[in-house]
Amino acid sequence: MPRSRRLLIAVLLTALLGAGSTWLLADPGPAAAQGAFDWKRFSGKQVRFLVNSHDWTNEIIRPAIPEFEQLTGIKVAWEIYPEDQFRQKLAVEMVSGSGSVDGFMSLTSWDGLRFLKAGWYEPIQKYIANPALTSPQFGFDDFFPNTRQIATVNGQLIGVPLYPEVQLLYYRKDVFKAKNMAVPQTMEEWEEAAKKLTDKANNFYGFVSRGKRSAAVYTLAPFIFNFGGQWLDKDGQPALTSPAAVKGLDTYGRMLRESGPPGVVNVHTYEVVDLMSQGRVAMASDSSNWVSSFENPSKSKVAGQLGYARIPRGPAGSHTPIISWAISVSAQSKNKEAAWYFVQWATSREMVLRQAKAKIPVARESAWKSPEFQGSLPKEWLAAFQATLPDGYPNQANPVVVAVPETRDVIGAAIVAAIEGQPAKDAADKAQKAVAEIIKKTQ
Amino acid sequence: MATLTTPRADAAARSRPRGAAVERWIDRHLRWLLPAPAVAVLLLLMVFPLVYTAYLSLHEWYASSVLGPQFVGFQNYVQLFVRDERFWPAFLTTLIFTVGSVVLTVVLGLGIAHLLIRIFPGRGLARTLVLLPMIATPVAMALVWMTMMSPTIGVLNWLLSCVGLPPSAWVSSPRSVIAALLLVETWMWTPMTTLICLAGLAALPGEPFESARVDGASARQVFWHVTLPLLRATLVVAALFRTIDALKVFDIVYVMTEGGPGFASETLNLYVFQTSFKYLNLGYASALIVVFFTLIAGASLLLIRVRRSAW
Amino acid sequence: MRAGRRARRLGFWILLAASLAFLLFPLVWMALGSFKTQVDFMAYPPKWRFNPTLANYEKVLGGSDFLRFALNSLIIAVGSTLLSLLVGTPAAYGIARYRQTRLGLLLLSARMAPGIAFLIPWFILFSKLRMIDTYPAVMLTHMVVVLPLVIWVLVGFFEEVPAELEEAGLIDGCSRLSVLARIALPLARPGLVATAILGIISSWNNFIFSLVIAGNNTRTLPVAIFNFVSYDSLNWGGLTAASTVITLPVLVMAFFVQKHIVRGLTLGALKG
Repeated sequence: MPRSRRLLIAVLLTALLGAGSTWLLADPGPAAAQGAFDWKRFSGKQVRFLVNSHDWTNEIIRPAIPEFEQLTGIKVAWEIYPEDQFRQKLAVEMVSGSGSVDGFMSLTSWDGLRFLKAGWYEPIQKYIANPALTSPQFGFDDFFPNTRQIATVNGQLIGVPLYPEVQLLYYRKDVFKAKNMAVPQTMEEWEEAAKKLTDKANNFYGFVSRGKRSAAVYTLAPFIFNFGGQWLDKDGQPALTSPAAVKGLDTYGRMLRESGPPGVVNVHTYEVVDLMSQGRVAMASDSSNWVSSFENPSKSKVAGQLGYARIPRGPAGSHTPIISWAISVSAQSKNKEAAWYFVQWATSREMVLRQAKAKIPVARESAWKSPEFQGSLPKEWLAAFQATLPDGYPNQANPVVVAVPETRDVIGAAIVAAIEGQPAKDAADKAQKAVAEIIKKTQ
Repeated sequence: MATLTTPRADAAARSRPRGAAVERWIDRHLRWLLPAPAVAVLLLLMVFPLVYTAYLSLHEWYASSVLGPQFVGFQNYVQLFVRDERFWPAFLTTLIFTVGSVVLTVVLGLGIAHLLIRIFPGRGLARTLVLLPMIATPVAMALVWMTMMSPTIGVLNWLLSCVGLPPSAWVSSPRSVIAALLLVETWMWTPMTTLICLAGLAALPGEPFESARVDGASARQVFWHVTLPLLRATLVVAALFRTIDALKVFDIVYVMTEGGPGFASETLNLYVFQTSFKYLNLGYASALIVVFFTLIAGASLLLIRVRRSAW
Repeated sequence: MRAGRRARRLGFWILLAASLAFLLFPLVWMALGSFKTQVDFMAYPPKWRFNPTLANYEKVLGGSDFLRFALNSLIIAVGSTLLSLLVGTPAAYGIARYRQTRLGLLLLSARMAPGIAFLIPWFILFSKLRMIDTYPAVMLTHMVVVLPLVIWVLVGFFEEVPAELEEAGLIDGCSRLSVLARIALPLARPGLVATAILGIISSWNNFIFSLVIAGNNTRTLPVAIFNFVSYDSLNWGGLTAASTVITLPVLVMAFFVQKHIVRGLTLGALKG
């Protein structure tokens, strides 16, 4: 071969090599796959997601949507509503069957059975298994097994889990220290401590948890479990009149009545967070998720002063529900693949890492173990969470039935009655009858 | 009340020489054409949905189930009247709320109207200011009332303490929640009854009052024996409007308590809303709606009859 | 005698002041609170003197969403009112002149029916027509409230127009239709303005229909403010600022047409 041609070939090869490696090594942005995965495959489509208001939807995803739109060319409408209205809105739209919703969030303990029976979930197992539709970076095995279990209803994988939560005891370390008190380990110690720390004259209360009708069912659950009760018996019938359940209801109502702030029957999770953050209560029990709010000095007066512990144990141990919201593709969607693209992007390693950095608990092991997550959260919280997890009951935030809202309203009414001082047995009887009736009508 | 159908007008209309055929046709059928668009809109938006709702009330249908509506005859109504544990309490709550609201707003409205009927400097301004609670957006104001009613830091409890009264739990206790809601409702709708009573007072003839004054009647006697009887029709109108609106109350209750604590403030309208959009029990909700509408219609017709007899 | 009269006058002013205080206090409280910082708001006993801050308003108005919702409220209010006027004015005229009481009864039953009675069928219908979260759909639903109001009030105004003027027009050779257009309408114009304002106010304030039929694109202020509360963990300063911003437009409108509102509401009431 003449020298000039060899030179030409060498130059061409070098150029190709250079261009190729530039292309290979270039970083087109977060969550972008290398190689064959085509992010722009559904460019030009539009998807609409209905989601629940949470730090994740508001602070992590919403600001990042332009990145997704640029990556894929898919336009996203990300509609956020507070929980109560979100449920109504979603239900009403899905019922109409118009396909106006492409994806949504759901809480499997609450919506799982009903949505599955209504045929609203698009099972995503087949999407995950399809390399043409799922980026190789996605790695579904990276998700903790019990979170994957939570997102599985009757054997179907219905969505990607987002932020697992258990219930924890939050307490004011400074207050306990000042009074030389130890963190309560048992239910009796808990009630004692709450009474001791209540100082009505100074508007400071020993304990707060949810008292608002439907919401309170969630925080009542550990009280029932710790005395040995369950929501449903093995026949799927309500077990609210068992001695354990009645004792749990009675204790919960009494503690809130005697050591809780006035107006506790109107307290939802947002008010629990507010009361704790404003420094008005010594202890609270609620979802583990709120740690990021509590430790945020711009939102919380007590940032840095809070301790985190397991919920005190009863005769049957310490058990809380484990639940997680999941993000799903709607079976009615006309753009299922495009919606799936969004789901996998929103739950990709990169996005979940961002979530972890913002101190929101994550369902991915890689993000959980990341130095950012481990480093940014209080050690005590991590320890308490990880200790609670093995003993938790998946999805048991309320009886797992089809008609959850109605059931929760009815049990919630019993909780309010107990807080108001009515005999727990009577309230439990009433709720038991009503829930049995609901189950009969709807299952 | 004047009309255009006097013989003179008719004759004039008939004898018109000019006008295109279309225009003449329009003129002749004007009495049907004028309301036609409005009737069409109302039929479409109102009557058909109501008929559909009544039809649906004879079916069982959980909207999230894969089965469509199943015909069950009057089963929903039987369930409603006989076995539903939340219906009768909601009915009672609605009645108590309505009666309370009507009485409070009409009495207050009449009183304030008496003040505003007089001539005094700043009357125009006062009359305008009085309107404001009714005009302000109900949802926004209900939330403001929530902040005022906070059991720990609300200004209302502070006001109570200023006059030596104990603090109230307002909307956070089943015992006081209805009274608290009534306070907000009364605040919001007294302007309406005030306006109605004001118009009524302004339209009263002067002679009965003059005769009473000549006869030496005291102010109280004038009020009870002259004003009230003459105002009966006005008061019934005010009561009619208030009754309809109070029976239908939704915004305030939904925003402030959602029917709680427990079910203590659950009115019929709220119960229907929960059943429809929270529980998705559409067949049963339709039956509830039919019963609810009948209640409102019945109460209204009763009051209209009272008014007719009052003329 | 003199002392008695003075006592009565004093009594009058006291009662008047008390009534106005009762009716205006929440509005004043709301306005005050909107300038408080969170810390000041949480203080008890409530602070009457404090350093005002504009932070709440900045937060509420600065977020572009709020202005978008205000625009939605405005579009829907004006749209539904214009539609109602278009359809309702001839109907009101007809009732006034032809004494069509049956139509009046239809309207009364529109007023009586609870909004929820329509919501389920509407939702199904609008979904099938793919009209959910569109301006026309929300405007149509608001019409169920605005149209009867419009007709009700306009009937009273039309009845005030002297029939002799219209008769004169007829005798001069005008058609009934042009009598409506050229004589009755211009004379009832202040009534039309008042009615329009009343319609806009009642649509602006509507909550339940917007809650179910509107979506992200058409969300109106009352629904938006409700969302605001729950997420922002009881930011009371923000809430009162938002409430002020929502109610201010309608309150201002009321001031301008107060005279007409009074006439419109009461005329409709007494003659309806």
